[in-house]
Amino acid sequence: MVTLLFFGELKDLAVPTAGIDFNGTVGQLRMHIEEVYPNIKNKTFSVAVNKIMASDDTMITAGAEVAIMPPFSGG
Amino acid sequence: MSEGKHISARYQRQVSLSEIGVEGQLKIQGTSVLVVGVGGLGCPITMALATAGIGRLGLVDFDRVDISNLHRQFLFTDKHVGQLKAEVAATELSAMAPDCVIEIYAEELTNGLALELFPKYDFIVDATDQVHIRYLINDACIILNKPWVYGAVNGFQGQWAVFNHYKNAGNYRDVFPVPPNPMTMINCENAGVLSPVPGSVGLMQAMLVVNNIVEKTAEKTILYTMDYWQNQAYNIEVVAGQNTQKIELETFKNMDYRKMVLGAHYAQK
Repeated sequence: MVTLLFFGELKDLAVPTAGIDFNGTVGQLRMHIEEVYPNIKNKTFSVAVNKIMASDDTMITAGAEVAIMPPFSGG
Repeated sequence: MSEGKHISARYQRQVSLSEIGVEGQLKIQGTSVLVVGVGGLGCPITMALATAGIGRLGLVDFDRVDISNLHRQFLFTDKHVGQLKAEVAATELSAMAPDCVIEIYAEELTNGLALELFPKYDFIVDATDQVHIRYLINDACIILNKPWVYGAVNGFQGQWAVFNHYKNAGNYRDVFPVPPNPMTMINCENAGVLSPVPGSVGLMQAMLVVNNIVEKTAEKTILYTMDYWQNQAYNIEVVAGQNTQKIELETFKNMDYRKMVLGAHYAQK
């Protein structure tokens, strides 16, 4: 199981789930997220795996905590 | 502690902290900081830095005080509505911190202005609500080798970090390589904001500045995130140089940052 945490404006767009069955890279997870949460499509976000900023080819292993982090803009 | 004579009694309580001491206080007083934006973040940042004894503070803001700013922009009151934020802030901050030299630039930050002003300051602080300005500040700071502190809010969540503060440190493009589409971005105007949120993020930004002035031991770049409604913190380690675009001086000079932010969005489609 992989835990997904949504931040910022995405917190309100994605229905939180306890965890998902997922095996693959961050890039593949991006596609998966856009399928499961269509209203996140076209939103910009970065992905951190186990609290370390990841690139699209980072592998997500079982038990990972994945943060979906959009840029914040208000000041 | 004979050297204590040089320090005003004003700072006695913070000099008492062993981490600050006389040496730390002298470092604070010898430091100059440029704050871009004197709004919800900029007010607490400048108030904390000026009163902590920062020697010289530059304020960049072309905006005027609006009545809807007053609930969170603590430097302004009703009598200031319609006046230039930078001018009012300079007056108010001078009253709070007479030792601080305050310089104001009541104009929009452009590439040219960044290249002119940033070399004159030790630290740059981003307190704007403009995505393209954030990339401009980031790129200028890398070209000029300046540490800078980022901060932003989204509803009840806040985010802050210090970038480029040691050799090979992370920067904003390491966190967000692709600029978001500004047309779909949420800002304080359309999403709402409660004053303690930018108030707190601004103070955390000021803390990062002081921390990095007094003790330069950082070896990691951390993106701090806080949900103030849930009272939950989440810190992410930034990995420097992961496919990060680096903007050279000549490119920077001619870069239209508004177009860059929009262009990245169109290119994505």
